[in-house]
Amino acid sequence: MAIQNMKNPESDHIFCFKEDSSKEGRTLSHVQVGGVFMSRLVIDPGVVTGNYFYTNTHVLMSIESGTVVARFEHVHTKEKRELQLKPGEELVEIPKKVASATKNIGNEKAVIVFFSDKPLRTSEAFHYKVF
Amino acid sequence: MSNQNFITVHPFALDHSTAGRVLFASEVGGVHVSRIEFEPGFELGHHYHKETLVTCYTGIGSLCVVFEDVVTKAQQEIRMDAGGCAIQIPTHVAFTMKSIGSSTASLVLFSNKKLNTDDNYIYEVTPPSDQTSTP
Repeated sequence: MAIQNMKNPESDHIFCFKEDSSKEGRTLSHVQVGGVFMSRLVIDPGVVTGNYFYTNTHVLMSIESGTVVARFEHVHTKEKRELQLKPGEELVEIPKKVASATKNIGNEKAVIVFFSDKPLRTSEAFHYKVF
Repeated sequence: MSNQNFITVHPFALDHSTAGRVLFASEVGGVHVSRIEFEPGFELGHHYHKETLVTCYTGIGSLCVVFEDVVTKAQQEIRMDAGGCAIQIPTHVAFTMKSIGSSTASLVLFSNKKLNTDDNYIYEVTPPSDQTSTP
C-alpha cells in the first residue's frame, strides 16, 4: 500500500502543512506536493493580508469559507480590479507583477486557498500596497 | 482564455447531481482544480482511478478517509482535519471519505484529469471499524 501511517505522517504520499503565525490576525500554512505549492490562509474578521506582488510566481486562489474582498493592481500598467469572493464561486488566476491583497469582510474567520508554482511570501515577494 | 497580463477569473462549474455533496470544478492550463462540499455525515468514494492522480486536503471541517489498495487489499484509515496534511492518492488505490463533523466540510483537490468522469472504477471499501471477524 502506497499510503503510509498518518500517525507518523510524512511519507511518499502524505505531506503535512507547515504553519506560519508570525503576523497577527492571519495564519498561513503551506505544503509542497511535487512542483505545486498549496497554501491555506486563515484570516480574522476585518484583517487585511497580502499587499504583495511576485516577479516570477503564478498563483491561483479561491475561497473556502467566509467572505473576502480582494483587490488587484498591475504594478506597471496600474490596471485595477476589486472582487468580492465567496466559497465555490471562482478561481482567480494571478500572473506575475499583479499585486493583490485580501480583506475578511465577514464576522467569522475566512479561509483562502492558493496553488502556486513557487512558495508564497518568499524573497521574490515585493510589498505593494493595494488595500 | 487566460489574460497573461492581468487576473483571470475562472468560474467553478457546479455539480449537484448527488444529494449531500456539491462538486465545484475548474481547469487552468491543464490542471483541474476542484472542491467538494460535504454535508455532515455524507460519504463519497468507493471507487478508484486508473489514470487520474489526485492531491487533496481538507479545506474546512474534518473527514475520515479509508484507502484500500485494490491489488494488495492493504487498508489505511486516517482522519483529515483542516490544515493538517495533503494526500496524493495513487492510481489503483480505492477510497471512501466521510464528513465526521457537525458542519459542512470541504475537500480541496487538484488532479491531472477532470473528476467524476469515465476513470471512476467502482470498488467497495469496507472501513476497518465496520468489519466483523468470524470465529
